[in-house]
Amino acid sequence: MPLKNKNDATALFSLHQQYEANFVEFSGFQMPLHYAPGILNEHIHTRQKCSLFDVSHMGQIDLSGMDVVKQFEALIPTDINNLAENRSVYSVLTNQYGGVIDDLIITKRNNSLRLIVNAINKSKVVDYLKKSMIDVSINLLEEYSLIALQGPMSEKILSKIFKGHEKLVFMNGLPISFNNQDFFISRSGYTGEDGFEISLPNHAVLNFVSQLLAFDDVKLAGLGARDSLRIEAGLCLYGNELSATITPVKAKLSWLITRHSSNRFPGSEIIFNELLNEPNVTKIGVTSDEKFIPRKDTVINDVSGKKIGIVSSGCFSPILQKSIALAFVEYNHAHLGNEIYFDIRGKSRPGKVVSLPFISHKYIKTNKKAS
Amino acid sequence: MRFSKEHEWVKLEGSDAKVGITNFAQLELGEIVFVDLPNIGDNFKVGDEIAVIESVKAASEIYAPVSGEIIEVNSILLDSPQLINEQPYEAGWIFKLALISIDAVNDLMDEDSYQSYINSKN
Repeated sequence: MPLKNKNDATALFSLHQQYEANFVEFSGFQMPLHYAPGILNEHIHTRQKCSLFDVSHMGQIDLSGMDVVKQFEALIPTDINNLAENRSVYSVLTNQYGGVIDDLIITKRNNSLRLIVNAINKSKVVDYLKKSMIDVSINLLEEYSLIALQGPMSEKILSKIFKGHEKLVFMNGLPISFNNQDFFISRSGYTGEDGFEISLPNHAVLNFVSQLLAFDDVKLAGLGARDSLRIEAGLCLYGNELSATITPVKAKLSWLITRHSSNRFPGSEIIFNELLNEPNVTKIGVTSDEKFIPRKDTVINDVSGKKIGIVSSGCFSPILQKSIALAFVEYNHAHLGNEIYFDIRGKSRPGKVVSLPFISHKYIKTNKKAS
Repeated sequence: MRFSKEHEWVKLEGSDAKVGITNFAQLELGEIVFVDLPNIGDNFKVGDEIAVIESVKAASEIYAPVSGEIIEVNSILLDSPQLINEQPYEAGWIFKLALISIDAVNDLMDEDSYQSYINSKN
């Protein structure tokens, strides 16, 4: 059986089957929703020890050519001109209305830019970049897999295989030659935990992942746990908290707008205006102590029953042991402590606006050896 | 024990009926995190929404498999909803109804019919 059916499964499909994955179709890929232990156990294992996620469905794009940094910077609100080699930033490609085409990670490597984009937006982004940049070669790296190792034991586990990654700080990367294969390891992830993302050739991934899974503290985790982990961490998911009609300001991503207001990028006037004058709706975090889960698209009302917003992502938090949700509400209802009401199957159920993230981030931001 | 098309099991205890969800149903739902129980004394007609089970994956309504009045609920489920996953036919029972008609229970599917009903759906 071939390991990879193009545009259908990742190079680890047979491994997922071997670990009794329950599959879900996600942007054309058969991906593991969870394995035998289930979403709750995989979630808790990630926060306590170390989980391995196959995120090879995401797009890895290489951009190279004259002025590639300058040309790409003209498409985003983030300053990347001073980005150091092997350093990464999180940003968004904006449209002319200030909405988001995709959110992505940008890494500076050997005078080129390496992007990690959402699976669901892969071809849209490639088409958009081809249209928007001149004399830049745009390569979707389909022969590369992407593995995320997340959780407090990640550094220690990787030390049994690599050297050098322990010096990395959050959003900093390192090219490594492993068995004569080119790996790129970055201290990053999307769970709120310390962890690493490793880009490596498809033909090397099964062997590498098997080495990691040989350690008792490393378990596989699927997209189900990945989603509840990123909700606890308050992080945005494209299609939920980000879309063509949601600006980065509304999604509480103003921190990534680092370009000066004299700079132009698609939708820059709208975005800089929102920064000055507060947007009409904004992202919030909400919890409830009642026994229901406010899922995506649940309507949110004020005390009088007037609609003030909508849930963008919701789940049961395995760590807090209660329901949590990310939502968009009218700006004057977004203050901390405000009581809001979910419409759950026709019944009004209370919730409260709380600060984000629900679970604090454990990113390593300073180099231990240097401090 | 009898079974409904909505994947509930019903067990006669005198003229009362004990109700839960089947093993097939709990496997479909996945890890259960909340159970919203009815109030004692509430009356339900067959097909009425009587309880809600929230799993990590989805919310699922439980419909009254037979008509009657709620005389007991399994309040242990409020703190330990995973009992439905672990022991769907024993500790994971959900509520008891005082029956209007015992015949209504006998009209539900027996184990063989329920098994073929599940098989025909897969």
